[in-house]
Amino acid sequence: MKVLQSVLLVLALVVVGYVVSAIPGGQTLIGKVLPYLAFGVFILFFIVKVIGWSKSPVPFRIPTTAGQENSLPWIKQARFDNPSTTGGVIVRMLLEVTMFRSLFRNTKAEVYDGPYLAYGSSKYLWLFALIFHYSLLVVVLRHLRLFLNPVPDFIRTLGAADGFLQILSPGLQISGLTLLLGVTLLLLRRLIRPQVRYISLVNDYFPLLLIMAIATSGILMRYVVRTDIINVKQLIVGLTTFHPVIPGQIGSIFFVHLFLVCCLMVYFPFSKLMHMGGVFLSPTRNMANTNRMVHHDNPWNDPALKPHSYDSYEDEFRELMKEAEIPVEKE
Amino acid sequence: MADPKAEQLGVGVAKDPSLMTGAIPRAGWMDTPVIFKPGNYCYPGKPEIVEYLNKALPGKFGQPRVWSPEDEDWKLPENWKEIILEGLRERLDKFRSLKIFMDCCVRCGACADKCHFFLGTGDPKNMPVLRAELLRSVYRREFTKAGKIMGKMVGARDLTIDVLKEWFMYFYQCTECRRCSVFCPYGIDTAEVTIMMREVLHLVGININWILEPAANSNRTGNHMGLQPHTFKENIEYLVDDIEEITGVRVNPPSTARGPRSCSSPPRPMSLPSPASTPPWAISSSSTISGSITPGPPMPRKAATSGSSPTTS
Repeated sequence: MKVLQSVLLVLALVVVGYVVSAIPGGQTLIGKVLPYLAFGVFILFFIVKVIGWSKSPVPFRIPTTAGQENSLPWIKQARFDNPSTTGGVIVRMLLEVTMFRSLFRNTKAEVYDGPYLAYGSSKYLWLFALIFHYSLLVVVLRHLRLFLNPVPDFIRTLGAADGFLQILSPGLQISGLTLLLGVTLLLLRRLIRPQVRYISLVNDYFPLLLIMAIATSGILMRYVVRTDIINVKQLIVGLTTFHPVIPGQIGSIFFVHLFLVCCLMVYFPFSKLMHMGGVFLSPTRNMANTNRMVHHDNPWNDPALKPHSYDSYEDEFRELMKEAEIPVEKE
Repeated sequence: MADPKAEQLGVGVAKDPSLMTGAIPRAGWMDTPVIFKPGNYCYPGKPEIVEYLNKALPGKFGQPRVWSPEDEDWKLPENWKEIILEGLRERLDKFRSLKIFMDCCVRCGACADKCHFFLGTGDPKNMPVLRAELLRSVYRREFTKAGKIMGKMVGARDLTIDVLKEWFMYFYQCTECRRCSVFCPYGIDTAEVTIMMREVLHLVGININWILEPAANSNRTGNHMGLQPHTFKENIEYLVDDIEEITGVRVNPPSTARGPRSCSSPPRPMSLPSPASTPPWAISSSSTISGSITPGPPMPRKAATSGSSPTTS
């Protein structure tokens, strides 16, 4: 049901993109105006969100302890899973952001008759997520060749590496296919695993399907419904140099592709896709666990709250204490 | 109603249809109301206990009263919804963690089968992701634009009395072990969520005695049992006798020393005003599970006077 809603939503966006690009002035709208708007919304609200997060303090130093904490010298510390130094935290964050360390840890639990509970390794999610995110990264970087003139060397190299198979014409770029593969695997996992399916919302299916549609339209554009790449580059360089133009004939599929990308940019800062920023700011991961070494005072403590003092304890129980021959401070 | 026996429960866990055994419930979780029946909830805080705590932390524990989760009417203040939302807003502003946990979850399900409450019951709402989603759905409605405009489509729902009851049920089914946080790619920590939410529930007088009474006892007597000084001393003396009987050694407990610092380790609860220094008989009983994370006052330490502290000198 929720998948269906999401599919319909994405299809509707495709149709809107297609129809708008076909009506007079529509190409100007999608090619000249919308990219600025979408990019502006993306940047602005991304920053607003991150500032919103940073405005709230972090009163407690309670990082997730995913291994042995720093202790006595003969007890081996899990230096990166439970770091006690800034260096350790940096390694932890790098492992998390570039390798998805936590997902690599994933297990699955199953109950059998008895009953007994069995745990097994489960690295599918880790693998699928890696395929998807790295493909997306390569695809985005690869697109920079359309934005920059002359094209920087590292992007040429990346493109060459991506197309090293040297099959098809124009040359097959692997990242496009692996992106589609990754997004499909994530979607299938979401649909097949009962637990994940039960918790999934439209907010979960929609971005996957939208990225799927973007990747598909991109692949179609490159290999099947060709567009004039010179004109595309002229349009995009026009955008980046703030002299937007609509040069000659570019197929509708390009405008559909561009429109979907704009939708993704607008959707991004208001959705769970903000995990891209949140992963860096998550207090349980970016703090060193120094609780046993340093006394952390909470500067946000409410000074109005007064503790229950020893004196009031003694006041309440003085007679009983005396009777039991417990020494007291005041007679 | 007969209580199920351990063997039955064991078979049920492995055989009955549940998310643990691969069956997907027909109704969505938002359409599944929570049912309170004897044995599946903790008793609410006793009025006198709530009253005591209200004296220590004014305005944090709601109206002391007799009520039961099984009742239709929980005798909440009329403006409970306002109080809850205000409490939520305050905590969102106070804790970056809560804000990020509300915004960043991608519902990947890595935490789903990591919670022992879920492993033991197969109840979908015991998956950490869904436990947090109980709150996140309301957060979307009240604190995000998308939720305000698109509602249920984006997983947002109104804060109703049934939602509140659901919160009471599931935010207390958490031992704050933080295992879910270990597996979460963003370190989303259900412990922090449930602790804060218990605190928010406290504001309208929804609480459990199993936590509040030990917390009140710890504050007043320095031990969760509420043992008064003379009883505590007696207990120590029994233990000393036992030790002598078994080992032949007569231990000299520090209870004969004078002053507040005669036991070495002071209790440091997270929020309840702690005794300024440890009462002589206090054995630390952590009240971190008392569902209180709001910064409490720092504990002033009394310098140990000479001779007062045989165990820490």
